[in-house]
Amino acid sequence: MLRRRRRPDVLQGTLDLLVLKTLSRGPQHGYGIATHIERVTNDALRVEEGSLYPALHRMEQHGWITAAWSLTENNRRARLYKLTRAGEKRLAEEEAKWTRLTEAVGKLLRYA
Amino acid sequence: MGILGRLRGTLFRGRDDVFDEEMRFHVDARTDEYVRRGMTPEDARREALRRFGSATLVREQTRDADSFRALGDAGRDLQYAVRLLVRNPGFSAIAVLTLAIGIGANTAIFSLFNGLLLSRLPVRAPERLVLFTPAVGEGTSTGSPPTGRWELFSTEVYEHLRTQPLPFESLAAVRSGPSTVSSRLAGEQSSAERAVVHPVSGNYFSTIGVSAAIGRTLQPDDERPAAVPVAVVSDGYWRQQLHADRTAIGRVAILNGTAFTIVGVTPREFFGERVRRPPDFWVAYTFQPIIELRPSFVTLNDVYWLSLIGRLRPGATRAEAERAATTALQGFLRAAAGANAGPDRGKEIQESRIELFDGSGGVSGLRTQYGEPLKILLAVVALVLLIACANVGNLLLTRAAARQREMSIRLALGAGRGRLIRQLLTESLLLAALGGAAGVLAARWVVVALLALVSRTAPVRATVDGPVLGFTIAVTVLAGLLFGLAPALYARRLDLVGGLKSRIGADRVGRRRLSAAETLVVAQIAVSLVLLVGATLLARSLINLQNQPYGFDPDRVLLARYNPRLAGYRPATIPALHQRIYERLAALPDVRHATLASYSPFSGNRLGNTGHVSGYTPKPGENVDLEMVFVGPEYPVTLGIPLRAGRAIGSRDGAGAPRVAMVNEAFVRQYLAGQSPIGQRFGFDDGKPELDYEIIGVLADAQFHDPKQPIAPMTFLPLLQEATQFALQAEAILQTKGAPSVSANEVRRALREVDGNLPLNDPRPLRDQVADRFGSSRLAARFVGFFGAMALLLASIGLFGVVSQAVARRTTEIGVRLALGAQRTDVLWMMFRDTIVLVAIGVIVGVPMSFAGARLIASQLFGLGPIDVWSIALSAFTLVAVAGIAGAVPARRASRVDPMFALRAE
Repeated sequence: MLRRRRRPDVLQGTLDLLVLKTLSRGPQHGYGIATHIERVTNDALRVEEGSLYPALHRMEQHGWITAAWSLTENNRRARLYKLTRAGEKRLAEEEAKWTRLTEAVGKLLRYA
Repeated sequence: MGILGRLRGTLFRGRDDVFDEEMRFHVDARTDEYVRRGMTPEDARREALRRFGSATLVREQTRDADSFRALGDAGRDLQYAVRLLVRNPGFSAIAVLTLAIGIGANTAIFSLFNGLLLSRLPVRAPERLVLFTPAVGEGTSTGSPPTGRWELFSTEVYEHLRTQPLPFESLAAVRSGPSTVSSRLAGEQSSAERAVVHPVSGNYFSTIGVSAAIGRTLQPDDERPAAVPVAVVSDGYWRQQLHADRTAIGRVAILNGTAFTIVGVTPREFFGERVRRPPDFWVAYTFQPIIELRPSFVTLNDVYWLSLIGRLRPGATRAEAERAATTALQGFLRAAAGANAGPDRGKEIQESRIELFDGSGGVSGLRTQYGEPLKILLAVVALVLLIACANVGNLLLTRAAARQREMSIRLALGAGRGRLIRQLLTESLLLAALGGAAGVLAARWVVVALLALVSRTAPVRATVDGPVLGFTIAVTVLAGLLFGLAPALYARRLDLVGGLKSRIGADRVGRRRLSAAETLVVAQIAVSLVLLVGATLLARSLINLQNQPYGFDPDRVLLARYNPRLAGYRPATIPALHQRIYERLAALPDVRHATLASYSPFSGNRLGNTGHVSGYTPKPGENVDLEMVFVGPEYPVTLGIPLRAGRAIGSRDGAGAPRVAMVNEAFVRQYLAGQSPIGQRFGFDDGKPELDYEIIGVLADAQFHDPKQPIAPMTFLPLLQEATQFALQAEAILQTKGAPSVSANEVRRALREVDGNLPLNDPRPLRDQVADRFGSSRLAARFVGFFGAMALLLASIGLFGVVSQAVARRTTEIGVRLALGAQRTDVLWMMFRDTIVLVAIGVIVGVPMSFAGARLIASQLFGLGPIDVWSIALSAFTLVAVAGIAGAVPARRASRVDPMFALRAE
C-alpha cells in the first residue's frame, strides 16, 4: 500500500488558473488535467478531485471552456475540455493576477 | 451550454448522467494507474474511489455549477419545488388537474367575454365611431316623424344633418337592414344565387374607417342620382364566388336584374358595422329600389329607413356631438312644421332628441343576447376557481402537516420563517403555473365548442391570445397566492419543539374547533350551494320559459318560409300564388291542416302600424299600436289558437271580398272593453279610408315575441286579399299528422311544383323555432349547471380528503374503541358525524350567500323569484346527498378497521 504523504492542496482560487493553463496546451479530460498538474509539479500540487469537476462545470458555464465527448487511445468515452477564446483571455488575466500576487508576496518576504 | 442548458440543469437532473460517466472514466483511469504501480485491482479501485471522495457530494456540487446561480434562492426554491412535485406524481397530478379545471374554465369564459363584449371593430380609430342607436332591431317606419329618441332617419333628415356644422368628421347612413337579392355574375352560365346586399351612403367606408383590400371602396359620387351602379364585395364573396381573383375588379354582378360593376373588395377582417356575417355586396343607398324591389324611399320624406353612424372629429366628445345633433334635428323639424304647427307638435319637437352611443364595438346582437349570461358565467367560473383553490389549499395543508418535521428541522438548522414561507409559496406558484398552462390548453378546445353554441356565422374572434393570456396569468398568480396562503400561514405558526416531538398522543380526542382544512371544506360546500341554487333557478326558469302556455300549440307544426319577391312576383300577382300554394299544401296526405301567414310566432319578425278603433278615443299622446299578421284560411286551427268568438278567416275572404279581420283578446280588452267585438271596425294609418276592417273573430291571446313581455293587441288580416308589398314574403304553416320533420321533403317538393323558382327556406318544426328563441337562456342554464356540478364534485373531493385524513389520524383511537367493545356502527356514526357537521355548517352559510347570488341573476329568471324555496331545497338536497356519499366512504372504511392491526401500528 502506498504511503500517504501530506501534500499542499491547490491554493484557494488558483485551481482555475492551473486548469486553464493546462488546457492551453490542448484539449484534455478531467483525469488528464489532474495527472498533468501532479506530474508537472512533481506531485507538489495535488488537485482535490472532488473540487475539480464542479470547477470544470462552472468554467464551462462561464464559457471559458467547452466540453465534448470523444474517444481516448484505448477506446473509452471521455469528456474532453477545450479552451475557448474567452478562456484564453481569462487565462491571461489570471496569470497577470498571479504574477502580481507572487511579486507582492516576494517583496514582503524580502523586506521582512 | 448557455441559458437553455443551465435552465435544463436547473429543472432536470439529466446532467447527472454526464457527471456520472465522467466520474466513471476518472476512477477507471485512476484504478489502471494504481494497477500499473503494482496494486491489486480491488485495492486499486478502492483507493481510486477513496481519492475521488464522496460521489454524492461532488455530484451535488457539479449540479450546482450547472444551475442558475444568479437566481439564487428563488432558483433553488424552484428547483426544490420541482423535485418535490416530481417525487409526488399523484399529488401533483390531482392538484394540477384541479387547477386546470378552474383556470381553464376562467380562461374559456373570459376569452368569449373578451371576444363578444370587449372587442372592437377592425377599423381605423374605432373609438371615435358613434352609433345613433345601439338597438339590434332593423326595419322601416313610415308616417309621422318619430317622437322622443330618434333611431331611424329619412333621407331628408340625414341630408340635413350631414350638411350641418356638427362635430363629426363625417356622418354615414346605412339602410336599416340588408336585403337578400338574386345575384348572378355576368359572363357566367351559372344560375342566379341569393346574395345579401347592404345599401349604404357613399361615405360609409371612409366614415367607418376602412380602405379597400383591392380596388376602391364606395365614394360620395357613387350615390349621385345618375351614378353608374357600382358595388363593393366582401372578402368572403370574393374568395368564394370570384375565386380570390385579384383581377376580378371591373367584373359585373347582376343584382335583381341590374348590372353593378364590382369596384373593390373589403379587407378580410371587415364585416361591417354589425358583428355578424358580412353582406356580400355594399352598394350606394340610392339603389334601394333595385335592391329591395320596392318604390324608392330615397325621395320619400315620411319613410324612416336609415341608421346613422358618425365619426367624431378628433377631440370632440360624444356629449358635445349629441347636443349639437339634437339642436340641428329640432331646427330641421321646426322649419318643416312651419308656422302653423300646433302646441302639441311643438312639444313633440322639443322632445325629439338624438342620443349617441359608443360605436367602437359596432352593433352586436350577440352582445345584447349573451352579455348578461356571460357576466353570470364569469362570476360562476370565478367561484369554481375558488373551490378549486380551496381543494389544492387543502391538499397542500395535508402535505404541510406531513412535512411538519421537515419544516421543523429546517427551522432548527437556522432557516428563517420568511424563507420557509417563500419556499412554500414558490411551490404553490409552480403548481398554479402548471395548472394555468394545462388550463390554457384545455380552454382552447372549450372556446371552440362554446363559440359553436353561440353562433356559427358571426365574426366573433374569441381566441386565447394577448389580453386573454394576461387575464389567465393574473388569475393563475392570484390562485397560486390564494391556495398557497393556507400552508404558508401554517408554517408561520409552526411550533419548533412540537414538530420535532414524536406524534404519539398528538390526537386530541373531542377537539371541536374547525381546523383550517375543515374551514376550507365548509367554504367549498357553501360556494357549491350558491352555484347549485343558481343552476337550479336558471334551469327551472328555462323550463318555465319553454313550457309556459304560449297560446298556440307548437307540436306537430312545420314552417316553410318562401320568398315570392325574389321570384319576381309583384303585388298584383301575389294573391293567386298564395292561393295555389295553400290549396296544394292543404291537399298533402300528411297534412291535417294548412295555412299561410306573413310570419309565425317567435320568427323574430314583427310588423305593426298605428291605427284607429271605432268608439275608442286615445288618451293624449297615446298611439294605437296594432300588430298586423296576414294569415290564410284555417289559421287558428292549424296553430291551435282557440277561437273565442265569431268565425275564422276562411277561403271566402279572398280578393274582392269585404275586408275582415280577427283580433286577439288583448285588443278587445284594451280598445273594446265592455263591448261586443264582433262587427266593430278598425283601420290603419295607411292612407286608405279609415276603419276599413270589420272584426269577424276573436282569438285567444298567443305570445309571438318575448315571453317576458305582456301580449300586445294584435290583428290578423286576410293574406289572400292583400295585393301589396306586405304579402311578398310568407310562410306556410302546416299541422302534420306525424312528426313534422318527416313531412319536410314532401312540403319542399309541393312548393317546387307550384313554382320551381320560388326561393325556399328549409322547412323546420315550430318547436325548434321556439327553442331557438331561448338559446341564451339555455346556454346560461347549461353552463351554470355544468360548472355547478363541477363545483360539487370538487367540494366532495375536498370533503372526502378531510374525512379520510381524520380516519387515518384516528385509526389508533378507533382501534382502542373497537377493542374496548364499541360497535362498528358506533364508529361509523362517530366518523360520519364530522361530515354532517361540516355539511350542515356549509349549508347554513351557503343559503344566505345563495340569496345574494340569486338576486344578481334575477333579470335572467322567468316565472319564479330569486328566492325560490324549491330551488334552494332541491340544491341543498343534492348537495347533502352527494357530500354524504363523499363523507360516508371513508367513514365506512373507519368502521372496518382491524383493532389488532390499528394497535400494533402504534
